Amino acid sequence: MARGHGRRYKWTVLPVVAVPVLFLAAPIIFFQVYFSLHQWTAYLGDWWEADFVGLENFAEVLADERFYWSLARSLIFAGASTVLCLVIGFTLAYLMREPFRGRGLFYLLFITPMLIVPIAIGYNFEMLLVEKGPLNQLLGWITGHEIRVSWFAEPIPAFLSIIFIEVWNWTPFVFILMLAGLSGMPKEPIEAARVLGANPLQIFFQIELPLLRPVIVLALILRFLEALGEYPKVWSLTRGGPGSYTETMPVYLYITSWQHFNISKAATVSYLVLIIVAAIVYLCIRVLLREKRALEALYRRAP
Amino acid sequence: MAEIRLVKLRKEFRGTVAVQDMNLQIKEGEFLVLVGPSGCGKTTTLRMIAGLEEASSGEISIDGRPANDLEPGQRNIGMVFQNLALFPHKTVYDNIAFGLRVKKVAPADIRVQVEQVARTMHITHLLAKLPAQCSGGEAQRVALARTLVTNPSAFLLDEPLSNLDAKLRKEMRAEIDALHNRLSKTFVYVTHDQEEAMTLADRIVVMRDGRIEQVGTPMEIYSEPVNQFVASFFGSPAMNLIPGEARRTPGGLRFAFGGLDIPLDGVAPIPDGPVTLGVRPESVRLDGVTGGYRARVTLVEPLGKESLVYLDHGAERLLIAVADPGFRTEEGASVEFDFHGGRLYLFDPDGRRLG
Amino acid sequence: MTRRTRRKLGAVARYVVLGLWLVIVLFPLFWSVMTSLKPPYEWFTWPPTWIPNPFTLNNYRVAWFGELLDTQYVQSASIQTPFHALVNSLFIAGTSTALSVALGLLLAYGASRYGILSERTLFRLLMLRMIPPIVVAVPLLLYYATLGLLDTYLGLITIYVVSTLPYALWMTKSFIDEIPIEVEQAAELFGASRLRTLWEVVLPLIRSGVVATFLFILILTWSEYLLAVTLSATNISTLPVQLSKYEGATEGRLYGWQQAMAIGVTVPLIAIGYAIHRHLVRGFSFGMLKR
Repeated sequence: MARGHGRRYKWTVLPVVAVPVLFLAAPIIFFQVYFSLHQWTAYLGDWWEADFVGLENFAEVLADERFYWSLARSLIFAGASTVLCLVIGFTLAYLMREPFRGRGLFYLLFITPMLIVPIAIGYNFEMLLVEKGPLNQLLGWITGHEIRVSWFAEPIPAFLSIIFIEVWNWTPFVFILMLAGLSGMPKEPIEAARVLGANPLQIFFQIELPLLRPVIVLALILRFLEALGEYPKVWSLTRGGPGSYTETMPVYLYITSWQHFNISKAATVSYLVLIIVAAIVYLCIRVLLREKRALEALYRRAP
Repeated sequence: MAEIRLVKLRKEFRGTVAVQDMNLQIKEGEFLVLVGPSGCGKTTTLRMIAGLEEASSGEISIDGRPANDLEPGQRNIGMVFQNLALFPHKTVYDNIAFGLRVKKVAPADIRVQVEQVARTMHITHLLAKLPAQCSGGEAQRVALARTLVTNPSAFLLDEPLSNLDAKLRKEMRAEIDALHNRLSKTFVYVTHDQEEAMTLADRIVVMRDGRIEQVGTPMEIYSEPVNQFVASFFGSPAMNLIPGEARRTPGGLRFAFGGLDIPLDGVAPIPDGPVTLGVRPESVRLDGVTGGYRARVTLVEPLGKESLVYLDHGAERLLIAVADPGFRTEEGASVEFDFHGGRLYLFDPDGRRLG
Repeated sequence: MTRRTRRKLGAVARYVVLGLWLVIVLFPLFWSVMTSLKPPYEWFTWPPTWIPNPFTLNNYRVAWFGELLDTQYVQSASIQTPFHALVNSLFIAGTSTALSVALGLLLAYGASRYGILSERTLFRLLMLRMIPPIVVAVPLLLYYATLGLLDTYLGLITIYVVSTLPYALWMTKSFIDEIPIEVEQAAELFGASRLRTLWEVVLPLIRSGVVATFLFILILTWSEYLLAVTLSATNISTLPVQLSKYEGATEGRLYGWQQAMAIGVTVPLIAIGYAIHRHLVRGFSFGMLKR
């Protein structure tokens, strides 16, 4: 295509998109910076009259144990749910790669959890996990004892519950990716491996898994980053409770902003989180780009 | 070391029968080619021998032992696929070493064997590369090396040359032939290219619609085709087929069509009726013919070592003749031709050969 | 063991494992539907009521039509009809999705044919979306408050467009990439202008892809909660926000009504998801799958 075309196109389209984005992004960052450097309490006046306090807010946040705990919880929450999503999603995909009777139906049913509005999921599971709820009833039947665990009012069960719900909600995401990856894998090398005497385990680890690495990495990265920011389900189920046992980073931020109305602190926290996430994201971009290039190299034919 | 026997082999896929009642005995050390048009079941048969497809019924035995229940890896065979099936993420070395590593051969031994086979196949310089970095021919050799190194008792090749360009195809063909001579092992080769079949095979199995049409040596297939299908499949350009009638006359059996009235000698008696006459282009003589049949030249295709002359003798299809490059004629000219050398073949309306 | 037996055993095992997860997936959904059909006195029973007896559609009538039924059981809940929220959801989700797809398409075409965006930039855009929305919620709120965009359609739509643009871009680009450039070149050789080529040649070929992208982004914008609840007050509350308001002052959650509303909100999305299920992968495979 003509070079001139390209340049003209670029300069007509990009501004249309870039300008609104900038109008949004720049002020947001400005506000973040401003509020983290100023102390503003909402009812004391307009925000532009707030006092400049330098790095005091940062010092306060960085000394706040609750901040670190919320980060830790987020990381554990995201990590655990991502790993579980991967294991379950991959297993499901592996079992479903060959056609069989009912496969289409299974597929549709399996992807359903991903399509449900997250906040509805929160309410749904709240019904199930309540002390006098069906889950306890089922567990009672299975174990023969009376089970009265309050799955979101006791600390460890609550944390496990939010992880479970996250896994329930998002396994379809990983499942779809894995299934696509497995289906798209070239069949002949696997047949060649069979003829050469490899057993299914060897084929899996030496051929299939390496070829699936880009998709797996993608699934892990996308899921992990999204899980870090997960809010509706946790909030509607536990509100960060009991106490602050399930207070992940988004919940902590929300409470700081809307319950304590500590805008300055909130801005500071979100600024710090933004930096952390940006760093993680930067690394992830590099990893993803590398995976993509490696994938392309495998399938490119030399002249 | 491997005699492969197929008894009443049959394969069905969801209602369509891909291979019907196939009986075949592949001799030890021979180069057997399964040839036929797409969809005739040749690849399916090969894959059943390999164990990649399960037979719907029938038996496969390799070396006297029933193999139906054996996994592909347990049959001691090697296979080369149409698109090579190299492991894209492993180096050439690792590709070749794969089969040995599976068998838990010691790394030192692996190195020796891989390097040796790489030398044989002239790919030593590629060992550290990835398959994507190899050219078509190089990749082909890697695929061969990969099976060679495991020392199987039989080799199965599924159209390995189909994806190569013409020149490369001829080169690799010669290499495969040489390989077979050197190893003296059983080769079962599938192709749709009759030229490959003719040049490589000790014996050819012609297949159509899941059935064996004919089994024989290349020469047998070429000069004694059992039916019209086999006859027209082999030979390039294809055999001329002229529909007409056989008539018994006092002077002997004659074939009549349009402007042709050809005496048939030495043919067993056949009833009057419609038949098809088959004659190979190289058996149609144009040079210095007098008193022959008349026809008009419609097209001349000079090929260098010979010329193809298309003749209109009143039929729908043009008769193709092969002429020496020295023979001069032009389009529109009237010529005379007759048949010499080769055979005339007669086929009944069902395609079976008569006499 | 013959291969046939092995294969049959494998099939049985497969059904068992899949069936297990299927139960886990379906049970909450089953419970949700059942609860939406339970009369209020069955909402909090112990042992929990599995199958409502009798079935009642009252919950739906209360939740969606505002009829004041079953008030003898639940007194202090304030019910607003969700139709206002429904209209808002339709408008906001619809508009932002349309804009997002349109812009994404423009950018994608440029990126695919002219390479106006490098691969690195494309990934950066993707990662932009990965920033947890909570992080920008507060500054955004203040910014909008200053600009007077709080509780306005424009405000929410804008942020929705910006945050879904990366997905729209990637997805439409994957569809455009699949059209061989020769098709456009052929059109050009026949003298067609750029615009005509786009309109008559490229767009029809990617039409189903654009539809799939539209529906995919629609799901995202429809179910978004955090920004909607942050940036709205009374005017523009969407369905998910409305859903969160279903709490009685004294009784806690109003299960039946809540589920009746939740189901109404969710069913369209499930239908859409099923409709485009073949294309879902494209939405988030981002070049990591060999096509």
